[in-house]
Amino acid sequence: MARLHASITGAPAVAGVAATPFPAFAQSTAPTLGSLRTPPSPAFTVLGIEPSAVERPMTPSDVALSFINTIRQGTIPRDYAFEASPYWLVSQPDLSWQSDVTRNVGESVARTLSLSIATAETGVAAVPITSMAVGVRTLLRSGHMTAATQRALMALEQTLSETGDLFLRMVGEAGLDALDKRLASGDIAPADYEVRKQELTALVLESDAYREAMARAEDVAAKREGFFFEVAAGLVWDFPGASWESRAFRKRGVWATPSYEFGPWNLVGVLRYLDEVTAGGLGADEDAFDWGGRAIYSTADYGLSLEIVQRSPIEQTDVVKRSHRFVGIAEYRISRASWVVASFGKDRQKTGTRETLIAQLGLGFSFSKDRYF
Amino acid sequence: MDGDVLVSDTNFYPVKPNTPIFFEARIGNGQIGGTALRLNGSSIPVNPAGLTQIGSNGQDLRRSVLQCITTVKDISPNTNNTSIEHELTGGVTPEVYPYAIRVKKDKRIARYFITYVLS
Repeated sequence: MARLHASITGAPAVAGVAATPFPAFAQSTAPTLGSLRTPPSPAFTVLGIEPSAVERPMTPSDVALSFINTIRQGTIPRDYAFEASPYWLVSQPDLSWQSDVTRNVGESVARTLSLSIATAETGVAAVPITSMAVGVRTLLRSGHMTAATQRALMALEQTLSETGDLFLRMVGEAGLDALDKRLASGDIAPADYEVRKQELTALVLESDAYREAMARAEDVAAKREGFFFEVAAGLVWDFPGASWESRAFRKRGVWATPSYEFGPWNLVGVLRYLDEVTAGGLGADEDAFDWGGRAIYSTADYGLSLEIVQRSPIEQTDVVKRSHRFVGIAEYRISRASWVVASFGKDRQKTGTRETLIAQLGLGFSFSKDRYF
Repeated sequence: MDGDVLVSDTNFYPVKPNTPIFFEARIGNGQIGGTALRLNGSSIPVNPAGLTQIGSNGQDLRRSVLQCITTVKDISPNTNNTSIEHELTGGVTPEVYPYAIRVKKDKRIARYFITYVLS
C-alpha cells in the first residue's frame, strides 16, 4: 500500500497567549506528538526539505522507471525525492497476517527497512548548489499486534467468508449452477464457460444485496504495541554548480529511538546526533547530541505529552552551549484529520537569539493513512 | 466497486474414484481474506486454519465442480499486492494453484473466483 504521511502545522490561531511566531511548515518550533520519533524519511530530514511529491515505487519496475526518468534530466537530478522499502517491492506470498503478529529482529528489520534519496536546490541564484541526501531507516524491534486488532481481523475474516458464501449462492442462482453441469459433462468449452462465468460475476458484484453484505467488511487499521526500537541515518552532499567533481560532504544525522506503547501510553526515548561538517545551512548549533524522552497519553480524541530533551554541542563555546528543552503539549481532535495543538515550555536557546519561551496555540492537519509500521 | 479487482480462472483436478479430496487456502502479503466453497451447488463449511475435506468418504467426485472464492482485503500499510494459494490434495497428485494481483486503491478488495473441475 502506498504510504503518504504529511503533518502540517498551520498558522497559529493565537488566543490570548504570548505566541512565538512559527511558519506554516515549522519543524523545530512547533512540536507535535510525533516530533521525537525517528524521521520517516531520514534523507529528507537531513536535507532540511519536506518534499511535496515523494516517489514511492511499489514494484522493482517502478524503481527502474523512476531512476530512468530522473537520469534523463541531467547528471545530478534536481528536486527529486524517492523512498522505497525493498522487502515490499516484491510479492510476499508466504507472509500471512497471522505470521506478522510478532516479529523477531530479522523479520522486523526486513519488513520495516526503507531507503530514501532526495535532492534539492540549496544554494542561491549566484551560487547554485544541488544537495543530495541518502537515508536509511528500520525498526530493530516493532512490538506485536494488539489483541484487539487480532480480534478485529478474525471477525473480518469471518465476514469475508460469509460474503463469499453469499456471492457463490447468488452467482449459482443467476445461472452458474446450470453452467457447471454443462462444464462437468463437457457440453461447454472452458474458455466459453469463463466468459459466461465472468458475465454472471459482474451481475452479482453490482447487485444491491451483495454490496450491502460487503459494506459489513469494514476497514481494520492494524495496530501494534509493545517495545519498538527504531534506528535511522542520513547523509548529505553538496554539488556546487551541479558538478559531480566538485561534490563535498556536508552533513550527517543518526537517530536511535526506543519506545514502548501500551494502551493509551507511549514512552519514547531519543538519542540523536546531527553533525554539519561545513559552515552554513542550518548553522553551527546543529552539531550536537540530543538525548531525552517523552511521555505521551493519547486517545482517539486528545493527546497529552511531556518532552524533555538535552542538547550537548560537540564544541561548546561562549555562544553555543549545552541547553535543554522542556515542553508540555496538548492536542485535541476537532475533526477526523485536524487538531487544536497547544504547547508551552522552554525551548533550547538557539544561536543568535535569546528566545526560549514556547507558547503556541495552533491547528494541526494530518493526511496520514490509518496505518501501522 | 472502484479499485476492486477480480481474478477468474478454471482448472481441472484429477481425483481418485470414490475418494474425498482436501482443500486449503493460504493468503499472503500480510493481507486478510476469507474463502467460501460450493460443491455441485451445495455450500461447504471452510476450515480457515487448515484443510477442508471435499466430499464424504466413498463419494465419487469425478465430474463434480468445486467453486471457490477467496475474498482478500488490502489491510497492509506497505503494499497493495495480494496473493493466494489454493492447494488441492488427495487426488491423483497434490496441486498448488498460486494467484496474485494488486488492488488499484488502498483498502480495496481482490476476489479470486476459481473453478475446479474434478475429473
